[in-house]
Amino acid sequence: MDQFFKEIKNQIETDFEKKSALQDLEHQFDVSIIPFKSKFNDKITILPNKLKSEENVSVFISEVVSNYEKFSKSVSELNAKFGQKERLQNKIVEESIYYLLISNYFQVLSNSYTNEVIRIQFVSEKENGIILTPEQVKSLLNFDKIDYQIYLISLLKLIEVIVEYTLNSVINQSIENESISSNYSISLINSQIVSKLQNGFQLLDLKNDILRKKYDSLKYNYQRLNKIVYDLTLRNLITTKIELL
Amino acid sequence: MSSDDLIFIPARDELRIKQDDREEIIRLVRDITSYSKKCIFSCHRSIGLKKLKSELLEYFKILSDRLKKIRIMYITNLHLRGNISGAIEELIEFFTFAYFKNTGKLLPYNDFIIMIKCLILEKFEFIDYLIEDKELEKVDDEIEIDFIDTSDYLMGLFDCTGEIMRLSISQSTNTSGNFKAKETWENYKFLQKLYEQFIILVQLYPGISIYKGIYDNSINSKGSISFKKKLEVFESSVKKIEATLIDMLVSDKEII
Repeated sequence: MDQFFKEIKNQIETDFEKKSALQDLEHQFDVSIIPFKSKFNDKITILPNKLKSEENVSVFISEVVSNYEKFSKSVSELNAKFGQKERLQNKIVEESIYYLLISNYFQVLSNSYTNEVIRIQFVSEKENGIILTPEQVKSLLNFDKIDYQIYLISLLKLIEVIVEYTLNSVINQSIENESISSNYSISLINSQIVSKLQNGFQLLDLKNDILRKKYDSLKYNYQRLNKIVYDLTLRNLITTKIELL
Repeated sequence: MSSDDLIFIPARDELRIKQDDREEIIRLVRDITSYSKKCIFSCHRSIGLKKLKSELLEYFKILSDRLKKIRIMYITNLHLRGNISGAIEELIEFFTFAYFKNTGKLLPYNDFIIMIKCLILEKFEFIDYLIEDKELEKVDDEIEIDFIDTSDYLMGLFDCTGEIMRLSISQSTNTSGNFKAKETWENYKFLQKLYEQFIILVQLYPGISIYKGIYDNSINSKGSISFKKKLEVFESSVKKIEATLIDMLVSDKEII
């Protein structure tokens, strides 16, 4: 009995050590994604017609990918139990997918935004649509297999950014006091994007888990966007034609 | 191709597979819990060794089948460790109780793992070691058991103490005409020693927690609350045997 409990104590100490190592690693990861966060916090304040198409978007994507590779390698090399590593592993994947989705959203938006007809590809097998597909994410991050649950959570987080960007753009444009601007059309574009995503999410049989909880907030975001579009349409402020393909 | 074809239909298919796996594992662990309980009931019964053996062997067939399936499914469902632990604790409760009833000792963890491997391989001869204290034959086949570790064993041991208490009380009040004071006292000593080890663990790690096979030291966590609750039940089991012993040795005796 004494020997068994001695072994238990050793294992407890080992698990504590691994927990501490994982906490350090998580802190390092949180620090590593601060530049990504700052980049998109700035982006959100820029009006759609002033978004500059970034030539170095591939550089940004490669930064996200290498950051992902670095941290997922560190986690997998840590000889801890799966249950200990699982949360951090999923967090690294989720954050990496999230930044890829946002960067792609702004890139496609900036390329497509004109003062005339705005044509945006929603998803595409070959080129990047405004929403990156799971296969495209898988190929960018060199996954063997995509975890759809994490991909969908990241997608729901992107929707929150889309709503926030719409609100910011409408507020900033209103402050500039120009009644005719293509920038108001961002509300219609984003409302259509969220509508398509909402329809897609309705195809899923969600069980009562974290994905379901996050999905439940989607309807409020959709409602918010629709209200903005309705108000802007009443005032004839949406002047640019939109085509979401 | 539409977004449904590129995103949501494949996502739905994948999520369905995961959900089906989870439900299947829940069904399997339910059987393990149920048949482990049946094994415990058999051990409590006052039946001969032959009858006990035949009852247990029947249950082993089902336990073996369910463990085999879980072992295969667990490889792709590591995140379901928490769903499996409860049933494994019940299984440990049975093994440790059966061994204790036979030998009065704590079943070594390594021997338990050997028996689980035998169970999976349908080599049920280990039953002689479990209930008759014969030699345990080593298994040749190197199979890995990833879904059980010492943390489950520790939690299963807690539950075993409740069975030892039940056994002690029923032994002490059986119809044979004599109180089994010595056996009850031995059980009491065993539980006291085990309780002391658990108390040392709590003193060393006040927030000791076991959850999904992981040891942690965080007060108020789910695993810590469950550990403390089991410890309270353990303490009350020790007290119950203590009271039984006092009754047997002092209160119920007309002449001491």
